[in-house]
Amino acid sequence: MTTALTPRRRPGTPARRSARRRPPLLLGAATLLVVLLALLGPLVPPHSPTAQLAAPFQRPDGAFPLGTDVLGRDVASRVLGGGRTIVLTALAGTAAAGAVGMAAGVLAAMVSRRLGDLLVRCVDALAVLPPLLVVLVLAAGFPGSGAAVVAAVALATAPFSTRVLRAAADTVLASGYVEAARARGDTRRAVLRHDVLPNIAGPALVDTALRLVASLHLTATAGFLGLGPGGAAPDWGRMVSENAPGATLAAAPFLAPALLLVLLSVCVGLLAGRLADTVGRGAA
Amino acid sequence: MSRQFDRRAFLRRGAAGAAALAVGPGLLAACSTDAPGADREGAGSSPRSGGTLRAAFVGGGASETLDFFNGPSALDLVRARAWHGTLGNLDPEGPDGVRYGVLKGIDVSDDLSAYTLHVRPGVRFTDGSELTSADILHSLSVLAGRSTLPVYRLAAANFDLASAKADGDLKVVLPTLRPIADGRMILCQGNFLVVKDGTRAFRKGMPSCGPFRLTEFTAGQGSAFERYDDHYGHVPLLDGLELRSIADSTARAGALTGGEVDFAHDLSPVTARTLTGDAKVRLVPTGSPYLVGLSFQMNMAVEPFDDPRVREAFKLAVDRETMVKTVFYGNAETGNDLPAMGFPDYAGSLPRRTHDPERARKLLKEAGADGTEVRLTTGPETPGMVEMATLFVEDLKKVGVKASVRELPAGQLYADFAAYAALPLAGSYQMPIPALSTYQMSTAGGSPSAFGWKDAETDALVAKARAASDPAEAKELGTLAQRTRWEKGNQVLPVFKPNLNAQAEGVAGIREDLFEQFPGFSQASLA
Repeated sequence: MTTALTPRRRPGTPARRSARRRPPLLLGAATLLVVLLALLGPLVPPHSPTAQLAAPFQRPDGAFPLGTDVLGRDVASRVLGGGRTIVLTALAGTAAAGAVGMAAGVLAAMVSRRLGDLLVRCVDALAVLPPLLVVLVLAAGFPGSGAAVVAAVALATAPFSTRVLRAAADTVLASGYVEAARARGDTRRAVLRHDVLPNIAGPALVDTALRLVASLHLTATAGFLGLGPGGAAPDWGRMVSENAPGATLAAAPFLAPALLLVLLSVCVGLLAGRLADTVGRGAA
Repeated sequence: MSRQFDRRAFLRRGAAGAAALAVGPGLLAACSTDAPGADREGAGSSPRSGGTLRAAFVGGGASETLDFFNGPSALDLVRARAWHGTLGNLDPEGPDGVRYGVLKGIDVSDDLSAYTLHVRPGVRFTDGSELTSADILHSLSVLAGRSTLPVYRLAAANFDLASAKADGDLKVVLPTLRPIADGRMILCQGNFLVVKDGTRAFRKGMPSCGPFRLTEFTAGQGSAFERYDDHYGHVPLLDGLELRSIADSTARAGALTGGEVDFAHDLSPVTARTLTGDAKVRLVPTGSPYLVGLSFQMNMAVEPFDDPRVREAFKLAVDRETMVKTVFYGNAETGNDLPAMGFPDYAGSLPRRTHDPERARKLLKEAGADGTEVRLTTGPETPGMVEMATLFVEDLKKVGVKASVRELPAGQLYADFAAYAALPLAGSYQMPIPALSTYQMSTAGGSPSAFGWKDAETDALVAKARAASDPAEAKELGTLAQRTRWEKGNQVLPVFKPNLNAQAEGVAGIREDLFEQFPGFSQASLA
């Protein structure tokens, strides 16, 4: 997040710099692959992801390429079916947090200093709560609700977005051209539309991308803890916790979803980092 | 975090114990150098005495107290069993179906209106005083009478505890509320432990008459005991006993395989399975009747379960064998839709219901309930419960029911009992207690936990069966009552699961203490 606000120019060798400027093809492809797997996987499962088909923790064979899980269900089908909820929940939570953070951040910057401070303090009060606690409380209050997890993820990440975007908007508002626009008699709305929003769009994008990583972590944790739409529905986070006790009997049911989660969050994280670099350089 | 506390407690205790027990380190060495697979229980080899046995349980966390009359966790009762004397335990081989503890016997009056408890003479508390009828009276009518735990409520529902009287030093007369012939089974379930007359608070150092004497207790961490040399009947073989709280199943198993404990209580089926290849460890699941029934309750007050054909279809749809194999790796028994399997009053002679999806589909069609939507609500209240629900829903889908699972977070299923009892289809589990007295307490008379079951005829039949002094007649009437439940009842009970305990190779004598789901260590010995 600091990257977005104070673009740094790293003293590096020209070769390295050019490497960093190259579009991250491999990274992008990997991310796209995992996301596509998560989103489209539920459409092409070889077996029902919830049906008990064979003995538990069976070794991989022709019928079950990744073996069977703790209840004798096909791991491959569950892996294919289990990513969509995580990706969609994280995306929805991040979008909600981004929208709230954007609105609150810009509002806090546009109103008087005092009122803005008050608003940010209120948001800070939310930030004090550990994100996991928010998720647990909301999920316990609305058992089995996917919306509760989305709301919890949004609540847990929005306060930080608010702060970042307020600071970004403050910088823009203090700039010469905004002063000139105001002196010219532009309305607040015009300033917001023509000066503030276009200029904080970059930082907002970067911030949202970074929040997406946190959202993914939180969503996977919720699944691991058995929150959200539970039951037999496949979910990578849940699969890890279901199959971890039997990891010595069969590793694939536990490793496959765990590795996919790692791959997804690392790729999205690195991409967000690259995005931050690019936007930062553009802004400077 | 709790793991860290455990370790700290262990280290502290270890340091104190090293000086006191010179045998300790030697014992550890003996454990680790044992040739794996060596059979130490062969005929003729007498059990070794001495040593401290360390056992791991889930425990109740920082809110634990020593008051077992109000302690809900298994560890609370295990601790109390080591510390206090018992009225008796259920024992299928015993003369009255029980093995008495601080009692010599129980007489029943001819009209079944009163039970006379005869105190075993010469039982001494740790303060040297002799156990008398006053102690039993206090424990029964004051402490157990005030408890809210189901097992003590069961006694209060059958005996007029407040009117119990002492007759001399060695006799207690306990009037029944209505004539019952199976009162011994209620009093000698193992839960009724005796403390000294006048006991109000439970603390370390209070007089007790159990096999061990409590030397240390830290809530949520564990407790330590030493042998009580004046214990009635027999003196324990062990020098000492340590009961530790380790909440996580995998961690309990890890402590066992790592040699940190000698006994691990109630492992999850998967954890138990991971231990099968370990030669230094032996799985010792509890045997019948100490099996927990895992069931589903159908609410007869709501559609479609008001139709007996639908209820029967649901019972036929469940694939019991697969549940036993898949969820418990064969370490469980199939149920016959009736609780209390293995108890003397269980109707074992009824035909066993088999998996018949064809007939289930037909019955549903007849009832006009094919394609009906049903949501099963459950929660992880005991290992295997959610997995069973998941499989049951798949079975239901196969006979054309649009079924789904709603899983509540741990501890929430029973939190709002009125809401629970109004669910159309709910997961549940049955602790091992006798069939008929349990029916009277929790199912008869349209009780909320009966899920809409109301049948005056069965209620009367059960009361009559319990009042029959001829065992054959009692059995016949009881079987008749349970047959109605089996045919028209609203409970699907596909599996009885044991507590999957495990112990280090060479540990012996725990099963001999009966009441296996709350293991006792008075006859236990180490390798």
